[in-house]
Amino acid sequence: MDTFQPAAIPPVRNPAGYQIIGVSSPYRRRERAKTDSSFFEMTQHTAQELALPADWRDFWALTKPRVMSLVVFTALCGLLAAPGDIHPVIGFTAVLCIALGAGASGALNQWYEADVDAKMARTAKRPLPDGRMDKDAALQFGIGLSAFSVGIMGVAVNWLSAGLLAFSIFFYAIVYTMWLKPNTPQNIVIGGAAGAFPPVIGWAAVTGDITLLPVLLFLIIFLWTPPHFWSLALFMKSDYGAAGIPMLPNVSGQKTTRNQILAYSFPMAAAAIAPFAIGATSWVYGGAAIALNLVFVALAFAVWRNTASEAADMKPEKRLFAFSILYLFGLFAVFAADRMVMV
Amino acid sequence: MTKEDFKSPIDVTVVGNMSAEESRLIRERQAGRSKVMGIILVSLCILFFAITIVKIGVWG
Repeated sequence: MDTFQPAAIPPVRNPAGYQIIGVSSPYRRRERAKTDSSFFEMTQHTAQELALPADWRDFWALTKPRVMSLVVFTALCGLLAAPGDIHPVIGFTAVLCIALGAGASGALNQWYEADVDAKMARTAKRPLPDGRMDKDAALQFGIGLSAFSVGIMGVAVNWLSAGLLAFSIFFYAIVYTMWLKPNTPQNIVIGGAAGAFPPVIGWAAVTGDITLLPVLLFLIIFLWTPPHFWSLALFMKSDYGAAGIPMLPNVSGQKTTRNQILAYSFPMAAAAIAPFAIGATSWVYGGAAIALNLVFVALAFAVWRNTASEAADMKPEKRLFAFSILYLFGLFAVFAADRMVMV
Repeated sequence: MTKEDFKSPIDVTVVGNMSAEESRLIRERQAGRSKVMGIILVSLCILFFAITIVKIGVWG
């Protein structure tokens, strides 16, 4: 009797998207199916019998856990910085719902971009392009998680934060992923708004309203997103180009992108220092914000001066990208700590 | 069509019968998903209970 040798034969995908073990290549099966309809029916049947259920780790990967960590952190900072009290259980629920909403956005994004992800080395190993998961399962997971997170947020916290959460999921999954990203090099400028919502939602979870300070938090992330992503896009240019995504370096060139990175770092610095300037924080935050922004602008200046076109020579871009993550974590951590002491 | 029809150098297929190795792999994944789903459901029960208690004002 024949038996499978899963370790020796790599998995392939059948036309319905199921992962199959030990079956001949899709091309060969497709070619044979053209002349032999009964073979086609049998392979469909076989595919369903041999469909492997996706591993729970694949669902976890679908939520983009690394992006989610930044979302959770900024949301928590918004929640801690807000005036007023929130019960720890409700606060925990609010942050959990924001995290689930971010995960749902990530799942919907990966569902829609599965074909594009397959063309980029950085994303080719994600569950959908790698064939480890059925596409429909990803869509159902994303929609289910969205509804669950918004519903629980509304019932347990308040409907303003639930509405903002629903809008941010819609903005990321529909406006950014489906509309902006494949169509305009300004995709991450406008799309950056989706990532800027979490501290506002955290704030609204406590106060039930939105004032100037959460708007400034929104602006900080909104203006931070272009230099952060464009520095990545500069040294990942070939990857985005291969996938046909119109990132600024592919469309307008590296010089324009470097100019834009430097240009955006100034209003970002102004927005970051503004909470101190309007007297909403103490000198602790003011000093940290000035120091962090000086480093950011210096690194952006180094990027602006760089003329390298090969990724290997783009150390300033890689340094700015790495620092930009540290910058956002540091800025929001000091902001939350400062406000907690001050308020 | 019999199983023999599938036997060729390019089609390494067994229809209907799963090997022990494949069966184990599927069971492992099902068990993993069930455990994670169980943990999530128990955690949600505890969370919803806590939210209810907070909302009715027992914990202030």
